[in-house]
Amino acid sequence: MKQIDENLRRVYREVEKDDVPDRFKQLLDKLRQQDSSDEK
Amino acid sequence: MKNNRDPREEMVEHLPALRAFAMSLTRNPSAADDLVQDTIEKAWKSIKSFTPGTNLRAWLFTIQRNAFYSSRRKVKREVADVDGIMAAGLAVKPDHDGRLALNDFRTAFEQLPVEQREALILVGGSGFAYEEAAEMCGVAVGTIKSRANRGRKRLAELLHLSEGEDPTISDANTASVLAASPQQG
Repeated sequence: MKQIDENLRRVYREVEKDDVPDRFKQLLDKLRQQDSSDEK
Repeated sequence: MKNNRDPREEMVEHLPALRAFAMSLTRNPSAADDLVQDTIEKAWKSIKSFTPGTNLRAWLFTIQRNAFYSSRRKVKREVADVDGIMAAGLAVKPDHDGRLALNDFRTAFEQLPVEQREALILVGGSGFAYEEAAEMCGVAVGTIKSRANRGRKRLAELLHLSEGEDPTISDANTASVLAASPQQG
């Protein structure tokens, strides 16, 4: 079963090593801005 | 100013892992990214329920799987038949060197029921302990172990690996990819 576990790690890592799409950085920026406008 | 970093500022570091987990749940890149977006929004709003000093990734994964299952219940468009049809048509043979092509493996993995995919990716893919995976999924450790074992067995069947067969992975590329893998933080 070692081969299966190796491949599980490969499948997982293949996505993990991809660049994170910009939409997520934009989303985090948006959430931060909402918070700072809520505070004041 | 706080001494501790706001955990929300650490979420960005877990995006790659969230995307990888989302892919294993949804099996579809655009659905996976929608799920990650949903997860981040939910996590951001409920950050007060995160206990500082505990495992942020596990907390995010828990939110993500809850979001996945609740949207799945709403949509209910999973077609049970498709799994059976695809599984029946699947015939994967190892390469001449005995090593599985990653695409073949992925195709077989996607045939598994979601509970098995989840258990395998949590413990086999992302390296959580069985105990952590059990906590995230809200089930007993034994349940996670048996889901993972059934998943491994089913994969072996789909990939025509005989029980106990354990060919050595001698491929130089695989070895270097494994060696060069980034350390998990």
